[in-house]
Amino acid sequence: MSERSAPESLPVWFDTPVPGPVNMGADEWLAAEALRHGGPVIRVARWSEPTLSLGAFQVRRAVPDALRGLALVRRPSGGGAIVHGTDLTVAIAVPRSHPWGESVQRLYDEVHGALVAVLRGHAIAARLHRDAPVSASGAEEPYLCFDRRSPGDVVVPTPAGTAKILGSAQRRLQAAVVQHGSLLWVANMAVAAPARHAGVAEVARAAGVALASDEIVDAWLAGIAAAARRRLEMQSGCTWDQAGPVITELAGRFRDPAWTERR
Amino acid sequence: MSAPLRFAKSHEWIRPEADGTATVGISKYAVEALTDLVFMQLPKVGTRVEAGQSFGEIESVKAVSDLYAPVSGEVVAVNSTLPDRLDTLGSDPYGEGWIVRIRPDDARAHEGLLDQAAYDALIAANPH
Repeated sequence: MSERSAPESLPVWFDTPVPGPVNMGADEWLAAEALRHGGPVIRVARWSEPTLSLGAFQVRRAVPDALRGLALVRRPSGGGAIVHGTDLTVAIAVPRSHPWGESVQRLYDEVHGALVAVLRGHAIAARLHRDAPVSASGAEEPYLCFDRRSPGDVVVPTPAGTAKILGSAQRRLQAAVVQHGSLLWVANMAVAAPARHAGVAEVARAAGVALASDEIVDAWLAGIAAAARRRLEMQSGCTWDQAGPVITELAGRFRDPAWTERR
Repeated sequence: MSAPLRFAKSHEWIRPEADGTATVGISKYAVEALTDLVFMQLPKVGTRVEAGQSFGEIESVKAVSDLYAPVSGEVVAVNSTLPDRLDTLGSDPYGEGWIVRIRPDDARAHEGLLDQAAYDALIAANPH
């Protein structure tokens, strides 16, 4: 825990861009930090290069052709693959004993509901998806996160129907939960069209609304803090300023080909 | 008649068997909390497991969770058909939904876990 962090605070780190394994290591450290802090902690991550993150058990060989050649990392969390680089990646960790850590859906809905409120304040008709996931019907799920729909995903209306703009996935550890969330801001031109999805800024622009990413993120974090009844506490440095050697060691697991190729 | 179940706080159950092994699964409460299950990774027979340490992983649509060994010992059997029939975990969690059988280092280790009444009280305090 930061020396400045009070128990009623919600510490937030804005990290500088790093490779995928370091981001994964930092999120493992974040889980331990949530336990030390006794409540939610948040890390806003950035990526040093376009990176494909796979869900914990996605089959490596099944990576779509449009995505081959990208830097690759396997997450410890579930869900579908994400192309990072033009998204806003937000990780939140909470102790299992915290009300948000007790059920899978609760944490999902609290974090995603805060974004829905922000977007609605900007005249974007965002909502939480509530229909059953595709997998519940027995069909195989799409490989990419933003082609999937599960309850709690944030979707926005488009002329063609809806677009998913925020998805998350959790790793539920014995004493803490880490939730990785990806808010797709604009389409990632590093990938070919079949794997490219419109981001929320583009959907909003088509509806005549201009969104500023800093403003949306700040309001989203404030909304999460309000829902948690905690005071946002922006940390002055990166997570590795505070725990660099630990994060470097944790990142080693995610660099290991045995982890990346586990399935 | 089967021995009564004991439960870990992490929601695994264990049932001592007459042959000295113990059957392990996860509770109905845990299955319901995980929601729609999509994948499960189990240990191999012969794997050494330690109480409180992960022996497998289970993925739902939104989350991956570890499975924790309620006692220390050696895995002597694995319900290898379970990953292809994950619905069994919900429909028969204490029967066909068993996950592994362990030969415990200490045949009485399960006695330190929660009995049914204590486990019921635990989950009553933490509804879904």
